[in-house]
Amino acid sequence: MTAAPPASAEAPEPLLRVDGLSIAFDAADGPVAVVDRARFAVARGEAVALVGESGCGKSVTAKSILGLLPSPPARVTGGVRFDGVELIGAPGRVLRRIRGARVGFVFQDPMTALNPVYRVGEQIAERLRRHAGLDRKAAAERAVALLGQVGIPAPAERARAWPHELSGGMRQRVVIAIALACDPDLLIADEPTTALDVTVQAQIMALLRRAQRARRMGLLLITHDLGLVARYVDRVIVMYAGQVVEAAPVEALFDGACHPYTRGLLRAVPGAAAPRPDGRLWSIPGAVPAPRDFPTSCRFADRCPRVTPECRAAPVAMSVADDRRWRCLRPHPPASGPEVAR
Amino acid sequence: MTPLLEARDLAVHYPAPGGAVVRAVNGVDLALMPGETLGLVGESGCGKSTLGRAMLRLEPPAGGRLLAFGHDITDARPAGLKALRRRTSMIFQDPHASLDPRMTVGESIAEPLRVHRVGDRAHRAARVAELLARVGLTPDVARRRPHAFSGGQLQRVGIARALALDPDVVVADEPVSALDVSVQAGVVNLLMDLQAERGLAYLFVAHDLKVVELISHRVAVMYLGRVVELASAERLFAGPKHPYTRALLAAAPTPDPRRRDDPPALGGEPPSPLDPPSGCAFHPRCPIAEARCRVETPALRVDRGGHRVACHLVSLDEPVTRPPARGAGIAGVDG
Repeated sequence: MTAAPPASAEAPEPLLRVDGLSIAFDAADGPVAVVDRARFAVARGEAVALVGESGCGKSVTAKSILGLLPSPPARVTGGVRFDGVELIGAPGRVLRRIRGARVGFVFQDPMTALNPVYRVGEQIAERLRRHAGLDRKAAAERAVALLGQVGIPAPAERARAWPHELSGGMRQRVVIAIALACDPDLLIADEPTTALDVTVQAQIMALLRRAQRARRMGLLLITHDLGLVARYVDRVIVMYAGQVVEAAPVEALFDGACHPYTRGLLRAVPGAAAPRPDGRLWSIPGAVPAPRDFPTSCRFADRCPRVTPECRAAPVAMSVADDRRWRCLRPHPPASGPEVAR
Repeated sequence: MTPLLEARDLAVHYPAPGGAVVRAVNGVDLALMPGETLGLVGESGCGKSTLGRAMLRLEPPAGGRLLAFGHDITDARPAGLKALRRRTSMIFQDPHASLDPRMTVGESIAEPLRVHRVGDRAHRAARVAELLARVGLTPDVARRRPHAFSGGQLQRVGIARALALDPDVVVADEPVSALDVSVQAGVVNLLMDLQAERGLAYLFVAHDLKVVELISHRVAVMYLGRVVELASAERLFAGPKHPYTRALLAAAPTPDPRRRDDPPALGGEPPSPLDPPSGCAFHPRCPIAEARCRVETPALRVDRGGHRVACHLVSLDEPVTRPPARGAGIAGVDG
């Protein structure tokens, strides 16, 4: 290994830096903490997956980044820096300028992202007029060009279609065209293909990946699907019960995850690992605790095959080695590379 | 051996706006044998869920015949369907939607027993406790209502209800697709264990090919209302013959970072059943389609090994190589 850089030489500021982000929701009997000091970054030109099962906090984390969680009931604290600008607590006009222009969004259900009473071309053009200052004619022309770029056949014709006239895959392409309209630096895609058929899902993911590379965008993909994670991102952040529990480059993670939860999750995917000797699938016993029951010590302890008494004694801090992080007192050693020291 | 359920050239139609007809199931031959799991796969709109319901005569047949336990029930009146209702049940995708929110889960599980007048109240309560224990829940949850359960727990309740009458056939419509992966594995295992214990037959409707491969003995692939390929799970997954099946297998993302950035296996989207393409319905998306595919609808042909395929262009007895999409796993996860 080469000599470490001097301590004063800061790494270049990443495009997006989430640091100590905590989210709680007000409820009748007091606030419920759903995300606990999440920390991760997305660099320019990098595709990062935020992965986990329902209730792990991945989706609220993504929504909080640009102030899309209504407050109250949401209480968001910590830091979210986008291209050097702090977004938590930023005034609405700052957020609105960044949202839609510099950060694009794609959500699971394209029907909720599209306005049913406007033709799809008008919806793209509206974004361009508002955020890029194009006039009516230029915006309409650019909208057609964008529809072509996202793989919609006969784009001039389709620009005049209503959302309900398009298939699910075509609608999601329109949403992507809107998200890409103002050449964003970052695209946040929250389960963008979960509602689509598998052959269409492959097309949409390939489209997102191609756009991300060609434009050197950052991509934050929120998903529960480890198959997509393996195929379409560079780095993976695993969340469990409101905490980041592991972060690693995609190949390193799939070659040998450090956290027992990540290992269990990868092994439970049908077809990913050899089944059990009795032909059954590997499962993780138990269930994710409810946010009110999150323990202060390791949140996976009750389901963990490697649990020890000290796992239940105190909060578990993140460990760091090279480009990997994990929150575990008894991590698996990575499949290759040096044995991880504790 | 007599099939438990059998469709012969079965058709199910839905009326569509403007007097049009959607041929949701369009001439299907399918037989479910005792003790087997028959996987039914395809993309949305292919008719797999409709066919699953039609096999239980929950959809009226528009054509063809439907047999249950050797009897023709195509035109049976409700009284004639009693044996069918008693010996079959269903598991649904979303147990939050399929269980009555006003009933306790114990009442929901006991309902089929009550409807078929099995036992007295005490007997039914004991049966509910026994079923709950079998699906991995504690008997005291019988008093709770569905909202108090997680998705995985509630799907176990749905399974307990489906087992109440000790059926011979369970039609499971996407039973694990709404569940998280770590929970899904446990439910799939439960379904497999129950089959091993009770000799149940499953018609397992799903879009997740990996789950279908694991749980099924035979697999039927549907496209736009027709079965386009049918074979043992081993044969189908090791050597898919129909170009659609091949594309479907290749499109399912394998959790392997070394297979990243493979081009999409298939362009286009499933066509609308309101406006089906001529000839072979798959021809507009098919990489090997020829002129005749646009005109002639291919019949299901069968090879020496019982592998059925509806395609003009695949040769039945030539060995088909395993496509590259299959067989890649994650190294090191067992370590």
